[in-house]
This record gives sequence, structure tokens and C-alpha cells, in this order.
Amino acid sequence: MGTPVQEALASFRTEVREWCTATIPADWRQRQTGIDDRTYVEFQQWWRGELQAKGWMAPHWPQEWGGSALSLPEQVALFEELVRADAPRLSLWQVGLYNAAPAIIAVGTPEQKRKHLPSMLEGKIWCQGFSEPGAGSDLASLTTRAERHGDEFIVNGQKVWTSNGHLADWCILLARTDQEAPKRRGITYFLVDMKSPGIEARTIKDMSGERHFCETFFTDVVIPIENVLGDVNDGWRVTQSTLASERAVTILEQADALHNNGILKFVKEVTSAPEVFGMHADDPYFIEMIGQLYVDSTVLKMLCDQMITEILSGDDSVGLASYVKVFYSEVLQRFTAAATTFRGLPGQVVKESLTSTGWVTGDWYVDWLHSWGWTIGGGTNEIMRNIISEQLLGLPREPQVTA
Amino acid sequence: MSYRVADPQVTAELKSSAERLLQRKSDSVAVRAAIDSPAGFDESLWPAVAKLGWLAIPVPEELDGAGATFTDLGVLLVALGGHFTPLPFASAVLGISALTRSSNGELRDRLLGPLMGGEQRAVVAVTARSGDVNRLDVKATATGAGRFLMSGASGFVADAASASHLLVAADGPEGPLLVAVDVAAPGVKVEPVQVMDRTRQLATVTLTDVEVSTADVLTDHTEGSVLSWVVAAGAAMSMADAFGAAEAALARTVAYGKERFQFGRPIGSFQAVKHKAADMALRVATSRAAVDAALRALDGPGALAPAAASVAKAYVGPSAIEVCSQAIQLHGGIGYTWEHDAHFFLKRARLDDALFGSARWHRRELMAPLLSG
Repeated sequence: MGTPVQEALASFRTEVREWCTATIPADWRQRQTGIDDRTYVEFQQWWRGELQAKGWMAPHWPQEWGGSALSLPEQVALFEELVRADAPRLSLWQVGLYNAAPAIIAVGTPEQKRKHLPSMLEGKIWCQGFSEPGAGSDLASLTTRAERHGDEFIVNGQKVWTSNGHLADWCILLARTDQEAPKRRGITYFLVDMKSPGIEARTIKDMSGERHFCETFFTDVVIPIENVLGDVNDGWRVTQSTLASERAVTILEQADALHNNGILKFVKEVTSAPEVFGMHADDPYFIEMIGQLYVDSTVLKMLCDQMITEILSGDDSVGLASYVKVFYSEVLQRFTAAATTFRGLPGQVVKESLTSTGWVTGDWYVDWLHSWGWTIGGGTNEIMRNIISEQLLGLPREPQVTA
Repeated sequence: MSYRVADPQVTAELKSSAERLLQRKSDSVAVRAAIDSPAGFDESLWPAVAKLGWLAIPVPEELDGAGATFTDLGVLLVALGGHFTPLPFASAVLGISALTRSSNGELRDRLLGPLMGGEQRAVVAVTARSGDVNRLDVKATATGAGRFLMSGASGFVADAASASHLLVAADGPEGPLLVAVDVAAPGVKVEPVQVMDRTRQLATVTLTDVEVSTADVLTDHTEGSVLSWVVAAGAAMSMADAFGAAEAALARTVAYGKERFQFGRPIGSFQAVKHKAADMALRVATSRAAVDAALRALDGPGALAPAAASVAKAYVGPSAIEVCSQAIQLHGGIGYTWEHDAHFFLKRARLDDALFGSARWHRRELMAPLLSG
């Protein structure tokens, strides 16, 4: 609705739109339905290549590392136009672009930047080894150990929820390097070659029946010391900055997709064939329910615009990013739950799964199941509420039971 | 698209000036005294506000106004809501804003001066008898030679009892009209209605064969969008007030969570309390985005204002009620008393939610074009 962020940029938007029309095959959704991992990776690599050739794979990176240093409003416009063109999502590079790269850019050595940033744009896939079976919300209590032997670290332990661990070339890994230090001060951030001997990534079937993430075992894995990112025992601090940037940027695209490809698309589905849903399009319960969700997703977009405006004006944006994460995930969950309800029994029929999409595929039941990936992943919404109340509102921490 | 965009520095100065004034003149004691006074509001605050030039904020410079924006006006409305100040300010500025949109230059120029100076107040009566904005219960019948007779009622009109003029929306022979009526004119009756929010003064306006002419008409049926703009402006402004109440209720709740000890700990350290506070904060953060967007839209092309106002009305009203309700809950027993201020926020939000169309009505307005297409 005409915020400063949305103003101007008209010619850039036209450029993106025309490029999308010329580049994206109209039938990509059909071709990416019910496929195996190899076809999925091939398609993702093709799409990555197209974006990269245009300079839009890492639009936010500086040009020296292969980005195109787009301004923030241009990045927003790019994401919005990609969503509107129903473009595939570059899902295999989310961890690389929005978790690994910001950390490498922030604290990496010149050698680490030279080695990892260009290769990421050329196709190297990254995964994230943070969570463990015993360290989820309490991430800092992780127990995977890295012991130093001369110029090497030897890693032993188990990670879990490693998205695309079975497809990745590199891993950002948190491991404990000081057993005696307070738990947040004994963690080191590593860059690990997934082809190193001793790594085994086993996929875990999620509750939708799909396999996107892994449990990853590290047995006597050797990491050369040059693959420590930042200082030894300083990994927790590096992680904190990374998670904030992850939330700030990637969610914009998702918010727009939820509004346009989720809620508006669902309204069109119902109004074009209300009989399929066993109701009239003017059903008061439907209008009330979908009206609330429409308003919620519109407000979500307004909140994202405000966050971008604050980032542009140099304000601290971490606060709004926490609100955006909680709000987005819960609106997503409420919407997909409602759409599943309205769709009735036909909506519960198993369909072949669609890949390379975001979190709203149009198979509302599957989208609903995946919505817990957002309310639990990236810091559960309960942890987010602790962060909001303690760090933004300044309420006292709960007394600590453990050290 | 032409937008008037707020100057952040001007907005920030207005905000701190409003806070300074209201902390001094509109604390709990002052409000409680004012609502029990004959006027029902603090009559000493009104000239202060007029002198600060608040009434002229959204008026263009060529009409001798400040040429500032609705975003600027918004910080004042938020502050007034946050101090639950009884003052006929929002209604007066809405009347002024309606006049600035009038194509009747003579009428506008005649009324605007004393209104911006605060000597007179004109308030809009655009509601049906029930207070809804989905229909009009006032009819204007043409009697020839550019004259009309107006009859009917408009309910829950803010500050009508202390106004000098009413800007009444009526069903005219060819469509809706917005007509300026002197409250002292024969056939005009204004009856106060005491609502639960004691910080606000509403009234039922009844017109019986009130005689007006085209000279009194602000906008005629060819400018129907002005009327919807006025409703949108009223809606957006009421949501700024509700947001102010919610934001203040959250701040008080957080402060109480730090100072109130039970079980040897501040209650704000309990996760059950913290998570409620976080939910309140989330509602406040999202509401701020919606209110800001609705206010910005009032400075843009008129056609954009209603949708943004409807989003704000549909989201912020219920959110503010929720936030203020949880503020009562988290204050425990003390929050349940008349002596504590928490109920003022709750009632302020409750009234704002119902003024200028319910959340449900605004949701339907938003959905209508999607459902037909």
C-alpha cells in the first residue's frame, strides 16, 4: 500500500518480470512433482545457474564475492517479483546463503572467503550442524566434541535436523572445544567438508512422509585448523549474529508467498468452484475465517516493510525480526489448518509431493504439516517468546537450574 | 502517486511535546477529575492543545494549516490514547480534515479558521442510528431552489454535545451528501449517551426537518469518495487511539511484572507471564505496522485510504482489546479495581474497536472484491 519501500523501482521490477517470463518453464511445477533427489538437485542447480548468471543468486552480497550488491529495496522487489512469477525457490542454498555466508563474511579469513563464497555461487551446497538430540532449544548445551591434536581437530558426536545433510558438500558445525568453560564459552564454529571420512548423514522422514533433513554422525572426523571460523571457543557469538540475519532477510519472500500464493490463491480456489468445497462462496464462516487470515497476512507484509524501513534507516532490526518469525509461522499454521479444514476429505487424499517450492505449495494439508517446521525450527516460538520478553521487554530471566 | 511524507524529525518533536504535555496535564488524577467535571473533559487542556497548533496539523499550508501529515497527527492520537485523555481532539481534527476535502470553498473558508483556532468544533455524524457505518439514517429531501430538509438520526457521534457544528452525512435525492449543520439550528437535537468508556462523550443526533441549502453542502453525491475517505480517516484515527491504549497497557504490565514479587521472584520472571507479555508485544508490534500504514494512506490518493483503514480496523481493534484484557489479567486483583488505570485502557480499546465500523464489517469490505472476482 504505497510504503516508501515499494515506491520507485518500477523499471527494475519490469526487468525481473520479463526475465522470469523468458526463463522459468511454465510447467516446472508438474515436472518437479513426485521426483527423486537426483532430479531435484539437477533442477535446483539449473535454477541456481540461471539466477547466478543474472547476478540474483546472492543479490545482497558485495560484488567482489560474486553478488550484485543490490540495495535493500531492490532485494525486496526482486523477492516480490519472483514470488509473483511463481518462480521456484532456491531451497538447496538457503543455509549457505543466509546462514553460512553471513558468518563467513562477518568473521572469516580472506582465505576462507576466497575459498567458500565463490564456490557457493558455483553450486556447493551447505548444511547446518547445530542442533543435537540433547540440545534443541537449549542449543548451548551441545555435546559434540572437537579435540585439538596439533593443527587438526578430531570431531565426535551427533547432529540432528540437518536440512539437506545428505546432499550437502559443506557443513557449518558447532562443537564443544572446551569442556571446562561455561557452556556458551566453550563452543567453536567449524567449516566441515562433508566428504571427510567419518561423516554419515541419514535422512529422517518428516511427518509429511518426505525426507529433507538428516541425523548426521561424526566419528573421528578430522578438521584442519584453517577451517575454524572466527576464534576457537567463540562460536556462540558468531552463531547469534548469523541467526538474526537469517530471520531478517529470508522471511520477506515467505511472507509475500503466504499472502499471494497462499491466501489469495485459496480464495480464488473457493470462489471459482465453491461446490468442490461443499459451500457457497458467500458462506459467512468462510468469509470471517479467511478475512481474518487475509488481514493477518496483510499486516505481516506491513510489519516486514517496517522492518526493512528500519534496517534502511540504520535502526536495530533484531527486535522486529523476532516478531516477524513468530507471526509469520503462526499465520502460516492457522491458514494451512483452515484451508485443510475447508478442503474436506478430498484434501486428505495423498498426492505426490512437490519440490522446489516454498512453504505454500497449494497442497494445503502437506503445507499444514510443514508449518511446524516454522513454529519449531529456527528457535521454537516458545524460545522466541522468551527472547521477546527478556531481550525486548526487559523482563527478568527465569532462575537458572543448570550452569 | 503523490504522497505527503512525514519528516521524521517533525514527528519525533511532536511526540515528545505531546508526552511532556500529557504527563503533566493528563495523569490519572487529572483524568479522573475531568470525567467527573460538568464538561466531562479537561477544559484547560483544550486551549493548550489549540495553542500548540495540533488542530491544524493535517491541514495544507494553502489553507493556513501546518501542512504536516496524518503520520504526525497519529503520534498525538497515540499519546492521547496512551494517557486515556478525555478531550474532543480526534473528533475535532476529523471534522477539520473533512472540511479540507470539501469542494465548497466558501463554506470551508468560513468554518476552518475558528475550528483550527479551537474556538469552535465541528464533528462528523456519518453513522446510522445504531452507530454503524454501513448505512445512513438521515435523509435530505429537496424542496426546490437548492434547499433541503434533513430528518433522521445519527448515533454514537463523538463530542456532538460540545460541538458548534455537525457535519452530517445524509441520503440525498441523488446520493449521499455531507452537510454542515449548526447545532443551534431549529430541529437539531443532541442527546448525550453515557458509554462505559467514561473518557469519551458520545451523543445521538436527531434532525427533524432541519433546513439547509447547497451553500451548506461540503460534498455532494458526485464526490461519494469523500464520505468514504472521512469514514476511513475516522477508522484509522480510532485505531491510533486504540494502539496508544494497548502500547501503554503493555508498558504498565511489563513494569508491574518487574516490581511485583510473589514466591520470592518478580512475577515477570515466570514463563507463563512472560509468554503472555510476549504475545501482547507481538500484537503491539503488528498493530503499529497496521496503524502506520493506515495513517500514511490518508496522506496519499484518497482511493487507497479505505482499504488500509479497513486492515487496521480489522486487526488493531481486536488486538488492542486482547492486549488490554491481558493487562488486566497480569495485574491480578489490583487490575480488577476502579482505582487502577488498567480498565481505562480496556474500555478505550473496546470503544475504538466499535467506532467507525466493526472489525467484522471491515473484513467483509476487504473480502468483497476478492469474492466477486
